[in-house]
Amino acid sequence: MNKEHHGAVRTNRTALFLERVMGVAMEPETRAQQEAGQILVENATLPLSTASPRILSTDSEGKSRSSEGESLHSDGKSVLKNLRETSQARIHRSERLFQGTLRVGGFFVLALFATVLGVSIVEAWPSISKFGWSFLWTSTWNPHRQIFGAWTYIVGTFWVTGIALLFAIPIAILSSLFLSDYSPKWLVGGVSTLMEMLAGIPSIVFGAFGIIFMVPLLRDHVEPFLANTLGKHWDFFNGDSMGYGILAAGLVVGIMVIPLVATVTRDSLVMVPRETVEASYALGSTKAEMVFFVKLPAVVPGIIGSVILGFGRAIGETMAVLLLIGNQASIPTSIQDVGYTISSLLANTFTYAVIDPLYAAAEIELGLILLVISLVVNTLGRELLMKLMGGRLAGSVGGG
Amino acid sequence: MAENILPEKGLSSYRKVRNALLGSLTAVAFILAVTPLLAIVYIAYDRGKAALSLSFITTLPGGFPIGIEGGIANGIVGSLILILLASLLSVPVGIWAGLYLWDQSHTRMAKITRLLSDLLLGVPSVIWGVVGFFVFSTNTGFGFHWGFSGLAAGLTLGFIMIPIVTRVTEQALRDVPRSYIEGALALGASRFQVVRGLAIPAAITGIGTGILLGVLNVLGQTAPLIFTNYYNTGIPTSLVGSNGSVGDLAMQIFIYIHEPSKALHVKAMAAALVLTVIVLLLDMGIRLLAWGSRKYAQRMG
Amino acid sequence: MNIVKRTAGLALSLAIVSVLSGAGTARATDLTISGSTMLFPLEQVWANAYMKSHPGVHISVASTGSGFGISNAANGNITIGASDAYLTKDLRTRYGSLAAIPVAFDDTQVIYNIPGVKKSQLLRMDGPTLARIFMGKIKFWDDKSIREINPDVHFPHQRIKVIHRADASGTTFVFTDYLSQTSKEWYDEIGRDLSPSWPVGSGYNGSDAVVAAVMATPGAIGYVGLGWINEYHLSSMALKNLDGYYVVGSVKTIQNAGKAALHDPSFPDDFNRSIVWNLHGKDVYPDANFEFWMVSTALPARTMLEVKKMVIWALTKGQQEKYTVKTGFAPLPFAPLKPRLNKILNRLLPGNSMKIESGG
Repeated sequence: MNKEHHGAVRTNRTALFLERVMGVAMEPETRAQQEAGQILVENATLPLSTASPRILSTDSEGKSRSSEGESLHSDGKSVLKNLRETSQARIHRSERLFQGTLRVGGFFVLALFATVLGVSIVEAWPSISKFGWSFLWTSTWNPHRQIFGAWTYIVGTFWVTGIALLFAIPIAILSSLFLSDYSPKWLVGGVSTLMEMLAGIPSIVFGAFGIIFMVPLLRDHVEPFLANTLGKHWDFFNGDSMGYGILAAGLVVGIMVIPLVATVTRDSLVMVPRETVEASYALGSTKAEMVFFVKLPAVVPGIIGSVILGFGRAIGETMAVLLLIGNQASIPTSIQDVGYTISSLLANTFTYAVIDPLYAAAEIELGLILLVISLVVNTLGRELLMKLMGGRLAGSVGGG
Repeated sequence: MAENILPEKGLSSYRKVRNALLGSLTAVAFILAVTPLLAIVYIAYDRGKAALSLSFITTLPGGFPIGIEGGIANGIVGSLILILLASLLSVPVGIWAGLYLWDQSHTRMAKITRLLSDLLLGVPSVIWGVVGFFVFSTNTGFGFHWGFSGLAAGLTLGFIMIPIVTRVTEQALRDVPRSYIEGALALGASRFQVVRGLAIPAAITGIGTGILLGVLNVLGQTAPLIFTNYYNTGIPTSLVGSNGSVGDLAMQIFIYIHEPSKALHVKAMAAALVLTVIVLLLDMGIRLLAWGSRKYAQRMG
Repeated sequence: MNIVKRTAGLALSLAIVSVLSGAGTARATDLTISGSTMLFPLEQVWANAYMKSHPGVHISVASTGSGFGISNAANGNITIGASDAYLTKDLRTRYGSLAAIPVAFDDTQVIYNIPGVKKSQLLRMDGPTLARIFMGKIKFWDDKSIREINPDVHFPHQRIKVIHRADASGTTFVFTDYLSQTSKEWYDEIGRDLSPSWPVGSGYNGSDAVVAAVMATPGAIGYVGLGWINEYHLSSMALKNLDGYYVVGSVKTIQNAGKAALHDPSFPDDFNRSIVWNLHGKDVYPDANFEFWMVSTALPARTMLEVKKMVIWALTKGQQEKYTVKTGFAPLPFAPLKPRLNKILNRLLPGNSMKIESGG
């Protein structure tokens, strides 16, 4: 993504602006000088620290430059800071007012975060104070008797997430290897764009696809097949062949996660230095050896980061899971079992649970657990990728 | 290229086989990754095409069970209302916060704000639903007491959009070269003048991209609507209060796909196709915007 | 300075918001009915008819589950909350201001999908066996206890797949009420609830999804209201009633159930009891229920007047067969209900109840 190039066009606009607004007509020389100076400054622009895969199409030149940009930028920043400090005393009152006004904008974000956390904690408090930590590992959930425990739902959530990632990660990583090293060049741009675009399909459409297509497929073909082959030896693969269940939910969520993991992995694959690749060839590796034993190990942190992001996306998934998982509060013992996730429980029963303060509080505490897990996971993934990529990162927002 | 320097001769057959196997493995994985995604679009088209027509988009659902006749006009109108409301909240706030993060990026406060804004990106949509329920919908305790309404849902979606718009705005602003800003400041422009006359015009494409990105992200959201709006088979006369809920395309798919009726499944898939097409068009818009500004930049530069 | 700015910003946004909400609440003739998925079909038909005959009134109807209807009518989020479940003692103490108005009869029926068993074949079921199936204690369709009740049916050796509701549902309440009344095991272990903790099976969001899942899953058993049975031409089981008769649910048999209940002197005036247990008679379906509209007595007087008009319309003209029977409900037997209804309506708007002159 050549965000850096944006600078050039602004040169003219700056000149225009200065002429128009400030009544300062720039000398042609000044303008030229600024344009010349622009090249340096272009490198000094801050790297993209977050943007979605949708607006980030990657190119290697841009990336290799970003690390240089960082160091240059830090110089620029300190200069700016000095400037700011020395001129602080003379800053006009209206300037401060303006900065104060801007601060209100930041304050909104802080307030929003406080609202999210505050509402969750305050509303969950009756349950937190009543059940304490044991809420986490109690598996009884009985609104009638006012006993609530999260364990079943936590397990169900991790089952679905686990199946999704087990399915998605190998496919995503291998296909990103294909795109970075094997595919014909003409295919790469189009296909990765396509993948990123398809990643934007709303999760309800995935859910509908699951009901229309995945459930009958699993019920009539895949699950009986599993039971007849692997199921003969391991009960883990046996079951009722309902179609609905953790397998259906996991697979569909997996399909949703693939583009994210693949895009981020590919972004880090592109960053493997050409020297490494060539050194590997020089030592006589075959292509596969280079790709799998040199390139792949080099991007392990990136892969971990992408997996963590995928995890964050999968764990909060609601609608597709709700439609497919079979919504039964029991701990799955087989791949064909039904289950329940935190998010689908909330979507199913929350508006009723408000009828009873403790019931509602218990559901919100479940939500709080989900919130904490996804916050931790997303932070981890982001930090890891930020470090790895010098601040460039494909972000994701949990789908509905 | 790399392929040419491969030492083709003298490889043991094991290595040759392994080379070929691993290579084709990636190709298989690639096909496995792309097929389901394309299949979703294809199946939505294949199963939904019977219901597609102009009137499908322009008529309200009717018949019994409701939806068996008519189309998805309520969903389209409702989704538009929701997006509009969400943008009304999130665009000003997001740009504002983005400006703050950019202008005072070095301060500790801004760093914390940036971190929290990033964290907000990772909040699961059910949590947004719960928050929206307590802040906007429910009539007990604090909050706005709007009942299940379009306004409640729209602003909840706006909450989801805020961190997206904030982040992308800040990013777009950062891409404006510092030298311009400093130059303008040195020439005596006030900060407000710089922001209004220089920074925002320069970053406007990026900000637009951010807004579209936010819209894209909230367009298919269903979970928060379960908590704040639910669904309406008609077009409401108000957006607030117990009678203010609007229809929504995603919710409509959710409701139709439940039904045992095959006819409603067809409608659901057609609606899914419409939603997907809207999303893909928006996505393309974002890409064109980014690509166009790049081209423009290159030409001018 | 900053603080001033901040407060100013907040005040501004608050002002905008309050203007918006003010504009929204200005219409007094808007009514919202939300709740029970069971009652939803009837409400749609009613709303259309009512809006036609009462220009200026706008009614929006949503199916959100009975639990939602009760809690949000009590909280004032919606004007009328629809529910299949009556107000239990718990709810009455929590929401003292809520009045439950019976508006129609419905029932919960057991549907199934057993490969090899014809639709025309009548399956019989009693409470204890049904409870054991839904508890996962009976696992196969050719279980001895099922065959004993149905000696003339040949069952395949097929696993039973229990299908239940995942959302909080009045249908579930009525169904578990029947099980609790007839099976001690069920009563002790699970009990009656809109959203009980199901020991086995898989859950789906809405009656529609239950029907879809049962139709698609060989070996499935589930439960839905009469409306769904009619709409999708499903076959349902004959349930054993108190006198030992096996009765299939239909408009007629559930109306019989209602009459039996209303003629029972012990049936409470405020309808705070299910009608599944006090059923004597040959053609009386054992799992029928009233459908309720929950209205908060704390509504503002003007809204209340509109609500009451609507309620009275629903109880009179609304009971015509073109509305009720067509959508799978039984009309209320009006005469025995009248004194009780008047009492309830009196609670809504004191001194104005005698407007009901005749039943539909």
